[in-house]
Amino acid sequence: MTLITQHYKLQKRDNYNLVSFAGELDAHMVETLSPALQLQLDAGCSHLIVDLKQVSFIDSHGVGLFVTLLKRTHQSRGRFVIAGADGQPAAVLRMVGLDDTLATYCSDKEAAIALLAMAS
Amino acid sequence: MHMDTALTIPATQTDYLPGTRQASQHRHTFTMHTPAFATLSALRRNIRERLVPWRLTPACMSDLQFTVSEVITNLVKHPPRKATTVRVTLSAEGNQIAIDISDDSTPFATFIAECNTSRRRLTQRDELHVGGYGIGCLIELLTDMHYTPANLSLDGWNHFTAKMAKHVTAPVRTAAVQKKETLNSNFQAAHAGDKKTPLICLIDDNAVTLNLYKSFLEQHYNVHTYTYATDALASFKNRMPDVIIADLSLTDMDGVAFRHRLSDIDGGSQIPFVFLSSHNNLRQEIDANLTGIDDFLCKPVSSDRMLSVVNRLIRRSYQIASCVQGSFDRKLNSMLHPELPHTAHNWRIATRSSRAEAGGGDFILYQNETDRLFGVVADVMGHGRDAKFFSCAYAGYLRSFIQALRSEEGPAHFLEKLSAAIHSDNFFNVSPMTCLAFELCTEGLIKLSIAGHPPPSFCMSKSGISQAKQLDIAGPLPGLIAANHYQQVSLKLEKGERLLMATDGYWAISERREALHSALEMAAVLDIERAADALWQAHIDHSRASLRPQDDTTLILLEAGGAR
Repeated sequence: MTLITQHYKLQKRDNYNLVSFAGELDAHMVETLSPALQLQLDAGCSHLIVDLKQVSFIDSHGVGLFVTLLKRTHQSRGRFVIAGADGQPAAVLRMVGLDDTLATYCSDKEAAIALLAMAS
Repeated sequence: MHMDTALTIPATQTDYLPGTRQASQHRHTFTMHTPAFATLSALRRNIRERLVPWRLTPACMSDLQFTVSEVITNLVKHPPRKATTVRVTLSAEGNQIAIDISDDSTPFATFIAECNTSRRRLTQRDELHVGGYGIGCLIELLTDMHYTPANLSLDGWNHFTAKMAKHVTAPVRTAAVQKKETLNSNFQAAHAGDKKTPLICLIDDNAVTLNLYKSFLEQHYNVHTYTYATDALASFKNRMPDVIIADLSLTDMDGVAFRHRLSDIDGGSQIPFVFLSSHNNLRQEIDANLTGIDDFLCKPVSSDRMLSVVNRLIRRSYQIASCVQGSFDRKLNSMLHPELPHTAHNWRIATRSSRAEAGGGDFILYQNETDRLFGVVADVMGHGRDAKFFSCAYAGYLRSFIQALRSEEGPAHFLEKLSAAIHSDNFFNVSPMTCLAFELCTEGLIKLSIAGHPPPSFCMSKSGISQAKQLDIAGPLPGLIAANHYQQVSLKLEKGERLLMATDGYWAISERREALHSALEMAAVLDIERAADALWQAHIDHSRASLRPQDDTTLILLEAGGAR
């Protein structure tokens, strides 16, 4: 099942959810999308891939969103991974030290393979 | 996707400083009325467009946009009385950007405390917080960060001021400049081996991964990145890396094939090698490990983990190289150690020598017969392992020549036969050698011939006055032409008179032979062993003052007449 909103695309796969963001993941965007996204994720499975391939900018609210999602997946014994971070988003993740905490992959396909390997 | 395409900042201007137009290009002011989250994207876009003339790198521009965005986000989010106007002034000051963000909101009362709290959150990795990253990031990006509340500022506005490093892209290059840069780049690539910083070669077909891992290592190492294995292999012709980190799945060949191709290159199999894998694949890992690698890293790899692995491999490979080289050099040095007997045919002999750490090629051979000692002092040109290798080869070759020498054949005859043999030998033509052949006979008679070697110096004493001078003798390098002819000098030394023979390492560093002649004259009153010590010390003193590379050095002091 795929859910496409103004700010993100949510794909529910057999074993994981894939959320693909686009544009600038700043305070305004996070405030706008976060409630709906979390509501939709609650009904889904525990593993989550966040794809940042189409994201050109994130700020501290974007980082906060990732931490929120990470905590949610951990609470449901799931895994949270980030895919496709490049440029400014990758630099911010490094700056806050989250690249050590979150598993990061070059693409959503790599992330999916790793997620399945870790879960098996 | 743009979220706020319908929203623009109500008033944005570029504020010019008084004075020249050029000065105005270094300062821009952006004004936001009724700032809100929704207008920040437009502000970032405006900053990017206005500052194009500054030629900031993408990373620097991103950091600047992030900084402004974070500060204004806090102004929108936290003060009880929201700001009605925010002014952002950005000034280029040399290699820095000065940032001044002023507003009319309720001042922050706990700015310093917020900074301290955010710093702790950034470093405390095991307890993740949803918020608090903004100011922490600003602390990472900025210097000279200050907050002046309205009641303490001159204009009655709150001011957040800070500076950040200004990184600019290279200016547009002309064809001539590009050509010059290419030449410089080629030169640097060709001479990259001269640099001491270890070179790490990263190979991955994903540019994002390459840049990420490069950023982990580049503060400590030279890092070359390649998306194609064939490009990496081609680069090894210029310089072999100290560590190779390659992904198992490459575009033009798989990692295992790359590892095999590397092993086919001379010295390739000795380079520490790490495989990267995107996922846990036991079969792939087994295949990779069978190729004889040093480590295996599963993505994602943290910066600490990658640095730890590379540091360990660099240290270990240097240890092994040093150990192997040291053992090799010790064996060679003991084989080539220049030494002569202390006495022979009523001559006293003192020998001193030093070996260059990286190699060098001095050696002495002699054959002591009933009525003479026939000796050869040789210096294989060049430095390093090659010179050491050729020294060994020459030593064996010359030994057979000396043993085959007939009793009536003297030094000149020896050098002529040797020169002819070297001339016809392609192997020895590669590395030239200088040579001094001598024959010590009874009653102070010495016969000498030299082939490209520095001439000896003679020290005589009369009525308590010593005088040293260089012998007028010369001869071409052995093997230069098919039939070299060598001059032979016969000297008859009186009791106590001395002859100083030395290799190029001694004279070259000393440079002023006159100074060494003075030392030789002053040492005439000393016993030969103490005189050799004094001359050797003079050489060491000159070596310390000289910037020349170290070379093998050999000194032989001969004294006629036996013990005094």
